[in-house]
Amino acid sequence: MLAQRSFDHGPLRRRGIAFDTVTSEASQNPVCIEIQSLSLWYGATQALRSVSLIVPERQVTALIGPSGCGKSSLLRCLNRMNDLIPGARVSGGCRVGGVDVQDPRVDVTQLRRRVGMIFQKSNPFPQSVFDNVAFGLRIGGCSGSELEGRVESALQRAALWDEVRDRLGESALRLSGGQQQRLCIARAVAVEPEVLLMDEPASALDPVSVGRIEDLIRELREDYTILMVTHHMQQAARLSDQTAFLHQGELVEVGRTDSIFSQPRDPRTEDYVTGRFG
Amino acid sequence: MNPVPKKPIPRFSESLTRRRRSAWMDVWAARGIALVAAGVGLATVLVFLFICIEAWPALVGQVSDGPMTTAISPDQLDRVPDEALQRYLGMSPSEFASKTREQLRLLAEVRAETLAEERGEEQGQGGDSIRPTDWRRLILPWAWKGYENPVYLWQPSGAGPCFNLIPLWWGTLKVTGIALLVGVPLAIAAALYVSQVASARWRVWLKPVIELIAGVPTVVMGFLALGILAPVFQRVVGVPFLLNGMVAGVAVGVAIVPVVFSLAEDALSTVPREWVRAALALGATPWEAVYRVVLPAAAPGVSAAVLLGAAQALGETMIVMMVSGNAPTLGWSLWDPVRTVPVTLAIELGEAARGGPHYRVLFLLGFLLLVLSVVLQGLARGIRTRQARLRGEAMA
Amino acid sequence: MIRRIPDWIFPRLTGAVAWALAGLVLSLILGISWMAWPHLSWAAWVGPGGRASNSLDPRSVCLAPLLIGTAARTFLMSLAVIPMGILTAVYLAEYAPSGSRMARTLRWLVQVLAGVPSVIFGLFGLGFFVGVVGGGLDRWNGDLASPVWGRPALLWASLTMALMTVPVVVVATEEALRSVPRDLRVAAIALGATRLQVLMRILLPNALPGIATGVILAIGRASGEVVPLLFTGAAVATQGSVALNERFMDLAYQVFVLSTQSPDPQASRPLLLTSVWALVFLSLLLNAGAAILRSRATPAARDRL
Repeated sequence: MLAQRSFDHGPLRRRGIAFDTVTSEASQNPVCIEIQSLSLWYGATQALRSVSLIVPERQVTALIGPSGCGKSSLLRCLNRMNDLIPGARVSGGCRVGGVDVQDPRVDVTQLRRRVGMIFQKSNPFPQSVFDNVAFGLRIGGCSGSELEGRVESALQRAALWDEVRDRLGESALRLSGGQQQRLCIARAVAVEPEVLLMDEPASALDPVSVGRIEDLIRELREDYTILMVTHHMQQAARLSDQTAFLHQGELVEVGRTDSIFSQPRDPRTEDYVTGRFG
Repeated sequence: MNPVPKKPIPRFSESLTRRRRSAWMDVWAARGIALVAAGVGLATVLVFLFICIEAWPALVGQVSDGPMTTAISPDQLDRVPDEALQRYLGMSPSEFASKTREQLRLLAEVRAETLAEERGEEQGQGGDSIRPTDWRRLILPWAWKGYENPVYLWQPSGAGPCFNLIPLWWGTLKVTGIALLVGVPLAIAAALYVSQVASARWRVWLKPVIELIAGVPTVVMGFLALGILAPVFQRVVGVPFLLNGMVAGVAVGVAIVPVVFSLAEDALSTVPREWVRAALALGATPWEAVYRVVLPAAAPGVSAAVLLGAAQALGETMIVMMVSGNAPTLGWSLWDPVRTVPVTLAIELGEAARGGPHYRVLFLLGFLLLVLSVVLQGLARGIRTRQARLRGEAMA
Repeated sequence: MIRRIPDWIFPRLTGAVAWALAGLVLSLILGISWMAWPHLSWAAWVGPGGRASNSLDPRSVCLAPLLIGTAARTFLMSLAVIPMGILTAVYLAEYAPSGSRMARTLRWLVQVLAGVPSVIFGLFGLGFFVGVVGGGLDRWNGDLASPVWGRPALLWASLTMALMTVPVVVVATEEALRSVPRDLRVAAIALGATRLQVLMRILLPNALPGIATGVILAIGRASGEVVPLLFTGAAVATQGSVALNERFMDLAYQVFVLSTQSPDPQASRPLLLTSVWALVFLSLLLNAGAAILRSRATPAARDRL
């Protein structure tokens, strides 16, 4: 549990904010993802073929597969980022926390706040570190001392607080690549999502940063449901509780990580994990 | 240390379907933006529509100079609305406003007599009522009163207004032609140098400086042409008129250099360098490489640049107004003073009675100018989009 | 025949032309400065006659009323053109459904508007703004006999200029908005920002240099334009007050009048030269400002990487 780490509660106390433990409030409401026969078309091209998958709460589920197999498209279905792509069409259902995300009554902006996304290449805004993390909070109407408290707690949860506590006003673009990606993670968790969708979060980083991000993901697992796309099978093996293998838009096999890697049932899975293609 | 009361955490499903309080702001912002954008589009349409509407009577040959040719007896004056009276007397708004009632009465009497005379004369000439805005008068020569032979005459004021458009377009043609002959070679030569020959270091400075010519207001160019160019021409060439079409043409030519240069340089510098290198490797001299490879490849862009320069030269008013002499002549000599269409509009619109034949003919001129301008620019744009499409396909 | 041109002619000839043109600009600026120099003094800006001077009176070299008039007209024009131009560009770049016919038509209309000659704007300004709108206002107020709004005035001139320079602002703003890196938008949207929030918090702040460039270019172009003003309200001398429904004095118009219609060319020369110099200086300043802003946009793009 995060509470076991020794965080300095001093700054928070000085501002009159009491936190019992520095955990996500959302950890009160575990949420799982149920994907049923989800198909996705970009115009005439079919990107996902009737994928069915359950992502259990507060675990890391890894999506592996060769490039172009639809992993990122699947992620984008869950927070409806595919709406931005003209010609994208969806059939079937994905339910997050029991709510069908395609339901017209769902407010898309609220959905995206509760289902956060981390991108492959870190994309901090050209603003200060503080403003980056505060962005999601400000558009939700948060301000003042509560804003400051939540920014600090988000940075702590992203294991970045100690490095930037004196540089909150500096431009985020001055941070190193690994720090920028952790900043994006902080930015995403600041709005208290229930789910984190990660699209190859450590692929563009140096090995040291990759290690730190992986540590961070292990910590975040305690409080968030995480669905992670990755190209590195070793990373999937290290981090995830469950792994799903996609190939050409089709879900080939899903199961506990250790069994996928040691005893894959499908020959295609075996070919992929042993490196024969991909 | 007061604990901040924790907000009750909404159930996940509730929070997703609850309507945000501030959603109305997004909706109204989107509507407002669309409204303003539509407004701008409508304003453009309005400009064209207005010019068309005002020019329409002249276009279809139904200019109402009725009130002007029906005599109004002086005792009917009070029943005639001011605007109609103003047109009847052939006065501009400012003149009309400055006359007293008595003066207007006197003028009306004079006008009635004049009309009676003219009517008598017209009937003497065989009953062909000479409407000055008939399309034949606008285009073909006519033997007006006092002229032995048919002439093309633009003389809106005076006893009998003459609205022949030919002298005006002839002047426009002269000035635009000279401007293109002067400006286009200069601009293209400069563009060739900057894109092909100049080293990168100089190119960075040369391009903006040449384009800076566009930053000089046209009044100032007119001022310089008036003060420097015209006297120099007069002294060197020894022409009878200080202000003439040649001076105007040269000055406008310099004024269109930035437009043509900018686009031509863009077109020339986007020709892939590999093609030039290939030509050189085959033994061509640099000039041959340019002439046989670069120029043909950049031809669409350069033609578009020339068309835009022509459109700008066509519409150039200020410089021409200051140095062209402003006399609607029809001679062949380039050293005659000329009157162009835009200048005519600028000079005479303020003095034309609203709704009268002069006003209508001026709007007709404006309409023709607008159409010509838009067509030239449309051609230029069409060439560029076609080229972009072809290039895009080549790259794909 | 083309072949036989000696090869050294090509670079020399074109180089001569290019350098001559560059030299022309510089010598223009220097020449005007040199000619105007003897007449430039602090008195030139404020002048002995004060604001009520008759500017055709050669003894009073007074730039202040000209500058005030030009500034007033430019300010009013900006008030109109900035919202119109920016919102239209925002619609074209952000809010229009992609590829919609309305968006393409609107963009085409803006391009056509950009190509309309300035005389036509003068016609429109006089006929529509002064005649229809102003006349309509007068008719509504019952002022037909002595027009209050139906005559050439500052307001109509500013609106005409605004219409004339809208395309410049629209094109520059749209380009600036489109050049905001896509991943910034995506990041903001993934955090649950609405379109309006993305626009206000991400797009507009990042596009600000480009937008400012467009506005400055528009102002620069408008400050040197005289032709539409001929119809819509420039005057040689006013009583000194600046009112929306009165004629106004203008720097560029002054240059025109003094060059062509001055009753005593010799005596009005000082004012003419100082006006020309002020006008050129102003244009250069605006153009330089726009160029600097344009180059400042690129380091931000470089920063992204």
